[in-house]
Amino acid sequence: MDHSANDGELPQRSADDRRAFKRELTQVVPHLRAFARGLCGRPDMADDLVQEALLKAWAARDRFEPGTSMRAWTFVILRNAYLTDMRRNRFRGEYDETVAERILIAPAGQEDPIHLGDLYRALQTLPPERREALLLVGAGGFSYEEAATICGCAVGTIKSRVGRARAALAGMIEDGTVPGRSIGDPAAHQAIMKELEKAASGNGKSASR
Amino acid sequence: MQLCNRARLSAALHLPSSTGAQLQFMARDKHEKGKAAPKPGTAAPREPDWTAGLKQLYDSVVEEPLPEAFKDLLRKLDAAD
Repeated sequence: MDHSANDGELPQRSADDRRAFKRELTQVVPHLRAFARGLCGRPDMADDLVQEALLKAWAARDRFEPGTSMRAWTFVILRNAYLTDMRRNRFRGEYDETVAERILIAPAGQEDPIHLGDLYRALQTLPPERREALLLVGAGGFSYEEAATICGCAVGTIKSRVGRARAALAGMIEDGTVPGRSIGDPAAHQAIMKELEKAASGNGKSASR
Repeated sequence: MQLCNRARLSAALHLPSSTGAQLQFMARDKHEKGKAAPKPGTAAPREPDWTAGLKQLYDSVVEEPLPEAFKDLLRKLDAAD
């Protein structure tokens, strides 16, 4: 998804556009961090991923269409960086349990139906393509259409992935089968890598023309 | 907020209906055209918390103060321009 910066076809951006780009990029960083953490499960790796995505976004800034969604555009870049790193086996579906438990606990005062740590762990067991679909729609608030654009697949595919992800999470929570620890099961890992290949075959559109 | 599938899913999964811990995970689901249109009054009355949990996971990170490393990086982008 790296393109040379001078295709000759790229429109000149005005100084205003450039300032707007920087401002919007800055504003979207917290969202990139949230998406990345949901994707790869480890705060430190997630932040590395976001830094990588920011640099790529900056390098490709002339490709950003002013007035379109910076969040969607950068999510595509982040997603592609994640898939690339996953294929290099960087994340291995692990996550940092200690940090997750510390950070992701539902605020006191709620009737605490579900421990957020449980939800977080359950999320990490999902195949990447379903996890990302659920993150985009259920956590990030993207429409199915926007999520489909980000993932480079059909709207129906996103709906199906979100549905399956929700069903899987509901099942785990209902049955009390949320995994208690990191997922080191080789079979599960293999299944995840397989799903990943499928997810990677649909590349996001808006940042990788 | 669309509530079309919640009642159906809740029924299908026999979700508990009497506790504050009720799972209402489909509450944020978008309306699926042509399928099981929502009937007023059949949706469970409670606001979601399973789904809200997902949003909360996301928002909790969004609301974290930005680590210095990112501020540095953003500054460097400017300098490189």
